[in-house]
Amino acid sequence: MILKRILINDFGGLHNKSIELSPGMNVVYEADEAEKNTVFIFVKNMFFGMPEEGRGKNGLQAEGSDVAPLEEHGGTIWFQAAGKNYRLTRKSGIETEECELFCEDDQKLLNMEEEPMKKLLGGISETIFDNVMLVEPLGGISPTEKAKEIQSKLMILSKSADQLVDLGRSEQMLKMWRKGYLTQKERSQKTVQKEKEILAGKLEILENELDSLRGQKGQVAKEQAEIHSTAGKEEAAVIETQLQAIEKKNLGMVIAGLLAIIVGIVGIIGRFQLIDEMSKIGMDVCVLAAIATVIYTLSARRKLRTEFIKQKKKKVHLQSQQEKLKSSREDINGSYEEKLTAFTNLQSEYQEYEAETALPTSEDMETQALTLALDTIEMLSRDIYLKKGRKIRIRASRIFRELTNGKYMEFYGDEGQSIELVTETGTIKAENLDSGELELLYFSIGMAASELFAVEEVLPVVLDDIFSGTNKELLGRVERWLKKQSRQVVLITAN
Amino acid sequence: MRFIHLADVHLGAVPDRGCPWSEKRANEIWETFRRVIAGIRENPVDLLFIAGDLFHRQPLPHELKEVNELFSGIPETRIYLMAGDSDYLKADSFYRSFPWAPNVTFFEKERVTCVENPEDGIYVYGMSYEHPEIVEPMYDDVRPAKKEGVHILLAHGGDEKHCPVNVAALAGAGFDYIALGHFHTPQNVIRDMAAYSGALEPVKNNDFGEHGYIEGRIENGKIRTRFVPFSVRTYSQLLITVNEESTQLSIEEKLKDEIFRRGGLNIYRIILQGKRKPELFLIPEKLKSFGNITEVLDETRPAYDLEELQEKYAGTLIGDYIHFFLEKNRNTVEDKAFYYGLQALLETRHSS
Repeated sequence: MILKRILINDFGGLHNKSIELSPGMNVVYEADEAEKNTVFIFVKNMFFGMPEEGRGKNGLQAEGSDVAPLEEHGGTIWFQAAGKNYRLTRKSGIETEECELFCEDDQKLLNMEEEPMKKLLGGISETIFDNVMLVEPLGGISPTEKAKEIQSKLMILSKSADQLVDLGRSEQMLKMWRKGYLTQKERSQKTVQKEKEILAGKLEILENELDSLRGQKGQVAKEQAEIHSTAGKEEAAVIETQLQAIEKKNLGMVIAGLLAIIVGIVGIIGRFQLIDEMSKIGMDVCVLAAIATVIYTLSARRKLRTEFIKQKKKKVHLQSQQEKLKSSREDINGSYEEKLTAFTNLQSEYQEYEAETALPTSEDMETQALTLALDTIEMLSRDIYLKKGRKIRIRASRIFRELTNGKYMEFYGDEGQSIELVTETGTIKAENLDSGELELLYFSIGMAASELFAVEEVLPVVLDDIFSGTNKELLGRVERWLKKQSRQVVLITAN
Repeated sequence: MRFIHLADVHLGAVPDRGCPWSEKRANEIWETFRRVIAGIRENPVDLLFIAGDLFHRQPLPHELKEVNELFSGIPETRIYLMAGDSDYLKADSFYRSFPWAPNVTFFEKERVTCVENPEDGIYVYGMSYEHPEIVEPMYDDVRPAKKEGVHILLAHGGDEKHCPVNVAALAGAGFDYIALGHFHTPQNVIRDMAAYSGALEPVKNNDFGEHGYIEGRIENGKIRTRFVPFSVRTYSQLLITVNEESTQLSIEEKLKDEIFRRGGLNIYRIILQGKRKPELFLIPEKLKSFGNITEVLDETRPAYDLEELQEKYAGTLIGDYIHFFLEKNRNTVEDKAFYYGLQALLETRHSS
């Protein structure tokens, strides 16, 4: 493509401005910085369409745009492409949008719906056009700053084909979002952990209570076993035997007592009825014996009663012990069963909670998405680098070698590291080049990118005052090199 | 005759464990059940059907005692109770040996039996779960006895692992009413004939909508029912639509208004939808502080004209990125990744 004439009717402050261009190198003097940019933007808008009024960046409507409504603006470009001559006219305003592409050779108006401009431009996008057609000046002042800028632009261009993309900041932004979600997830997990600890604590308490109850059960069983053991049974039998013996003795004492009373009564009656003194004495003895027997039996019976009560108490105590142990065992069993059920319930609760909280959360999804975005950007960026990006360095190296008459054979540093240039004697870092050489290096990269990204149609390149520090000799080399290319070059300069 | 049909009370459940309202919810589940009984005391009904899952897990003796005490406080009401899959009758279940008040009938076996009240002409059929799952359709072949009166079936289940229910079979079975339990969302299966009362209080965070019990009348052999919302709170899904004018603040205000309008006690899951301006970086997490909110899902997307952007950036990383994702049948994660990456690349791109 060769631009032949640019006529700006009204655009960006320029009115009725006409620029005549020829194939090969063109030098356009523009003192005004703003005007330099405006011409390029005009050309881009002519080729890709005027922006809608108040349109913000990235093709969106800007909120409450404070851009004053434009009057009709537009212009005409005459150019040659694919061997034919064309005239492109656009007029754009609040209520107008006219565009006309006329082929002067065929005397035919082309149908804009078939996107003829896109074909004539070789199918490149607006962004590629920006990157390949315009080479803007370096911003830095010192060689170190310029070298860093060149290095950064080379890397970005190689990895994204778009020097305005900021891969570092994009990555940072995605990582920051991801960190936010990971922090949220961490917080949720802390809550979950706390809940689990509460449940585990309750389980532990129940477990301890169950252990204690098991111990008590064991103790009760042991005591019961003792009671029912041979020794225990023996003790019970002994008590029972003693009670029976006491009862027998008691009965014996009662009988003896009664007999004694009878004998006594008989003795007393006989005493008063018998005449015989010996018999009377005999009756007295009987009566005394009877009294003594009664006293003895009464005393013995008292003792037996005391013993009986004692043994009875023992028996009752033994029985009540058995009852107590039985009741205790029932209570303990009841508590145990209840606590065991409560424990099993809580275990289920814990397991369910664990399963529920192990499920992926919305934070997991967001984190996955952000990681996928990062990985995809890296992958696509690598793809671009492998297919085209690394060729920029190789081609730019060749151009630079030509421009420096072979002084610098090659350079490296398109993957983000410092640029190093290879000479016959060794290597030299880019920041050690002088200003002019740095601008040549930058120019070489720009030209290489133009060649590699716009393949189907050789587009003109606009160099926006990139040689401010270059001496005449180096400029001469640039001019000679450009003359050998088929590409049209427009150098816009204020100098 | 009047009756109340409720189910899936899940006494003992602790919903939303870890959230600030969790313990309150556990108490509210008990409280609401007590309120039902108190309501019956004030305005007596003849029959109370509890179609399973009265308890969330194996009931403890003190819990059974408390429930029994409540039941004994409404002696004029005949209560029919069955165990569901959550509180099923394990071998050592305390349900088995529990001495219920005289007005309570508990279905003890895992086969349908009938409790007859010939004087009232009321026949109630039911069974309890003895296992956590029953895959046989236990109710399909159950038929009411050929006796005059009102025949009511208590049934718990309806999915493939819990007594699958054939609605057509049930409809033709001949029961006058089928009191169903298991699904927590109330639903009329056959109008005035078969219904899930739903959980009395929502238990899980996807138990959306109203909860309560079913109140019924038996008049001249016909049954009329109505659903009575009775829960203290509901779980709701709140859709907040975002547009290109929205800001974090405007979204927060909108959310606050919605929660105020629908009730601050309720529990919400927030879903943000719509197209937002790309420069807006939403902080969904901040929205959780405006109410009882379990989750905030951000389904908004930046308002990009993808076709236009793809054309504008064709041949560059951004163009390739758009192309890469547009070619895919994106799942949720891929869709989010697409917009995240695009937003990061575009919003950090220097101006030309």
